[in-house]
Amino acid sequence: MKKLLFLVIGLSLLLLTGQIASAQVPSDASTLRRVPSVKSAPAAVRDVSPERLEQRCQVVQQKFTTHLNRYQLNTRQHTARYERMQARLNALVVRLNEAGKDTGELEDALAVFDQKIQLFTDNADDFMASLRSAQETACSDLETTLPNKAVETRSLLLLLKENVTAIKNYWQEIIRPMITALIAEGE
Amino acid sequence: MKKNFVLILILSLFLLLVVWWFAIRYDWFPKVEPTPSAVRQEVETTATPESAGELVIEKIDEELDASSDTDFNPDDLSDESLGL
Repeated sequence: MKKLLFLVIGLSLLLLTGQIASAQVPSDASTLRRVPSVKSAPAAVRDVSPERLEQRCQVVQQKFTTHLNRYQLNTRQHTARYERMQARLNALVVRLNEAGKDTGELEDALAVFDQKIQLFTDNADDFMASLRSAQETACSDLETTLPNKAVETRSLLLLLKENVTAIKNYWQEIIRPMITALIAEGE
Repeated sequence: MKKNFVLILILSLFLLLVVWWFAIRYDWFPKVEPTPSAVRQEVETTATPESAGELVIEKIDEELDASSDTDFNPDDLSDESLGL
């Protein structure tokens, strides 16, 4: 019985050590980032054999798939977060109205806020479509179409980042102070 | 007999600890986020409009703090990182 106990504890410790060691191995994205760019090699020595191209396109496609999954999750989380924010704010406006507070200015601000969220949703759809299209292009036209698609996708991602910042700033600089002022009125 | 029982108990607790560690480490129990109707109800049932306002501020601050600047990072799609 004791032997069995030591065996199980030993195995568990071994497993835990393995997990800790594997956690220190660079993540998938950082490993992929280290794959040398073919563009950096001189044109004369660049290997453009069909096998090499096939291999390269698969690596690139895998990277796009990883990003696609990650951004799908991030977009879904952000959208859900914004929907909860809108629900909370709309319910608050109703409560403040019932308490006889003037919420006209806050309602106008919320209309702008909703537009910003809608803009994020629209841009997120465009970005995901562009990313999906780039992923599909990876093995059909790696040399010419894909780099252009990558530029387009990158600019849409930049736009999305700006939308997220704009929403956060609008909350912090406009809506939050308005609510704080309305709360202070009743105290 | 009693000795065996104690050993089995210790063993079970240890295994439970290992499983728990893995569950935390690999997010086996993902956090369930409330639905918009649930959060709306939360605001509606708060005692006073003022406390509802404070609750909204607190919750929205939490929501925005939970998002990271790297959630949408254009550097992820640079030519270098894609290997183009």
